[in-house]
Amino acid sequence: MDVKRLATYQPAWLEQPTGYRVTGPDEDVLTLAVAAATALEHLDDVERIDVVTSQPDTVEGFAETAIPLALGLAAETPVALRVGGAPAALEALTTAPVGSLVIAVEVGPPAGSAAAVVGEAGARLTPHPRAGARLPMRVRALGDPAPAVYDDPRFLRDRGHLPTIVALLGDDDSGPVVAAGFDARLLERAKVRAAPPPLDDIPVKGAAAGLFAVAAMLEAKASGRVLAMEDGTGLVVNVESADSVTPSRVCRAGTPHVPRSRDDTEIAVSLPAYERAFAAKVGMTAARCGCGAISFPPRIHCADCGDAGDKVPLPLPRAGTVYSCVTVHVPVPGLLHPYALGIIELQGLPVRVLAHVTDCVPDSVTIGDEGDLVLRRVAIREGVPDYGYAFRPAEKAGQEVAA
Amino acid sequence: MRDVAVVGAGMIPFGELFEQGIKDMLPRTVSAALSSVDDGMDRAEIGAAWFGQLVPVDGFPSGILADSCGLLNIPVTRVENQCATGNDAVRNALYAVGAGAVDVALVVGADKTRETAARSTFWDWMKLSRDMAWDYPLGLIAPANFALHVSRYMHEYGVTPEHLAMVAVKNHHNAVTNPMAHLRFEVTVDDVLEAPRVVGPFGLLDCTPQSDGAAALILAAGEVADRYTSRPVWIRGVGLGLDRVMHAHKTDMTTFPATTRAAAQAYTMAGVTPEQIDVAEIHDCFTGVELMNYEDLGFCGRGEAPKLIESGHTELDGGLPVNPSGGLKAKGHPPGATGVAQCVELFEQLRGHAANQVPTARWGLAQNIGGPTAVGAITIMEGPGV
Repeated sequence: MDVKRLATYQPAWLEQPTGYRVTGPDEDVLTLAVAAATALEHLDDVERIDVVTSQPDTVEGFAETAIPLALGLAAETPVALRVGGAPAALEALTTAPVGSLVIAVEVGPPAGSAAAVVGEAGARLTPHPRAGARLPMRVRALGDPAPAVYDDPRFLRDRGHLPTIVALLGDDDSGPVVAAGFDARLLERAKVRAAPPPLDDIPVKGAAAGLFAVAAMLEAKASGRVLAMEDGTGLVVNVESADSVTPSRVCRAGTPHVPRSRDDTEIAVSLPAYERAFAAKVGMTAARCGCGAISFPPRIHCADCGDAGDKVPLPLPRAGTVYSCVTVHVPVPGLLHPYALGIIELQGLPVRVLAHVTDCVPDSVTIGDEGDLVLRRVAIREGVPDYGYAFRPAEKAGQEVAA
Repeated sequence: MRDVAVVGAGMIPFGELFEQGIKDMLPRTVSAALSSVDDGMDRAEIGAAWFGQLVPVDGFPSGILADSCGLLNIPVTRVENQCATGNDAVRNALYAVGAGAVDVALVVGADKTRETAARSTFWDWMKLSRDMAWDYPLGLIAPANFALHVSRYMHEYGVTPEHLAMVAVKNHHNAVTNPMAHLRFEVTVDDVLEAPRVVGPFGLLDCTPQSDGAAALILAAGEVADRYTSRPVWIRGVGLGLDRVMHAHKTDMTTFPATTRAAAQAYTMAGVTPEQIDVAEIHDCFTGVELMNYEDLGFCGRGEAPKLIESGHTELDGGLPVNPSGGLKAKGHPPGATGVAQCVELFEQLRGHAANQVPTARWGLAQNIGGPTAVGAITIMEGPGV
């Protein structure tokens, strides 16, 4: 199979002192998946979606419909949630049918997600059969807050990883191997040439690590093998880069993560109200009247011409400019303290959106700042994640990370 | 429509009235209004009552008013229109009297905001006053709601935090000599600028306190007014204006269409222009909102409110004293009571016996704007001349 397009996403926040990227308070597996897929040039050829993660955060009631809606795809696009790490992500990628969008997510830390569209012409990925049984070094039952850990790294190395490396890579010295999901120094121990790791803060374990490794090869226009391995089980994928495939990367200059407090008051939810608003809110879809007026949130009665008939759905752009913004400094039950609210004017349209400001210190945004509306979990209401859009200001000059 | 006059007005001091329940506040306020009638009035002469209360406590509002105040023989209607409740209660009573349905009407406004823990009061109210799907989960609390407007207003017109602070200084100063006020201490511009931040441009001293309180007016038809007083105050104009309820749907956020619509109605009905207003009690729930109100009410042109506050024109000794009572900022703001209390102040000003009496007072204007900045109410009164 071929990867036609690939994009990676890393959150804006840096954990101290590790330097790992960590999710913001409004990010979860679902929003990370959308963030990576949003960075792809287009999704016109996507017919189904796979999400792979080793740490699913919602096992009952995962709002899978939010993913295609947020991406501008048909709400009924099939979405499959798969639990697994780097080997599982590469398996998903290399076995997915044409027209698949495969998204690997890790909340970590380090957090990150990567999305790839599978098709007929692009960068060729060839998998080899998996080797090695999974050793239950870390096992967590659903509902347990922490895994059971069998703390014996040398056992894992000697009975798990080294034999699997030998079984998968053998005497084949055709080129350096990219490690995904494990420490690359193990390759050297097995007398295998390891490709240098590309960056310090990419996800080093889990599903996202698998696709970040592929992205690194495609970025370098290199061809060679990726070994994804965890807990003794592993998979090798041969990657042949293509000129036409250059990964997109979304990764802001990191901002030190400053935890904000939030009390445990529940925010009430009305499921009928939630359901009625869902498609418009998650899809950022306005209503266009026959007279041309656009309403968002959608209105039945047109404020311009008074017509109360059917309106046509209009997907909205995500780029916008701050019309007004304020920071709430007082603690508000159920909300982070502090938080910033903005009224955002969308690019090119007479439409405004009320949204939280995200991915920056709340007080750092002013009127006139440009940015994008991004899908985030804006609240958890009586346990139900509430997805909507938050305003992420554009990075100021001098802050961009080289893609 | 018949002429309608205010012949009595009374209130209880606003504050954190932990020692009074709603059933204590209401009879005291009604008695105060009755006692203020120059030639006396028995409550049996009241033909109907309108009760403005934003958040009911201890039971349904109309029943509580009727039962606690010995008004079980008359119709009582509860009015609620967010922070415009008080002046809207006046408007409703006015039309009943003006149409001849009743000769004497009682208007009461009251609220107990301090009946629940301070932190949760306005958050509980948010659940009732914000769109459940779109706005409520974002934490659009009342100060944020207004701060988004004032922030844009400051940006477009070069209004500074000092201009906002001047409003607080003025209104606090006025409240020191008003025994009915909740907060009776002076503040300086520096006090206001250095106060802990609440939302956006507003610090603690830019925001109205959470208050309990009640106020009442007695309205009488023109043909019976002289039974009660030889110095009635006539309600010449009323207005109620509305606007889009969601910020995303608003257009120019540097003005409140709810106020301008209400103002157009009231000025037209009264046959006066803004220049003729001698004294005004307007809605300074947050300092910056008083400045926006100056412009929406036509007291100055767009963007000129900062010059107005700088010049002292709206001080007690200025050309148009605004909020001689101390305003919402210092007199306090029990939402249902506020509009009625503004009219109580104007009744006294226009008859020459207010605590902070202004030198010239023939025409007075009361104004509310409320949440989320989508409803405004105005009452314009003409007194016998001071």
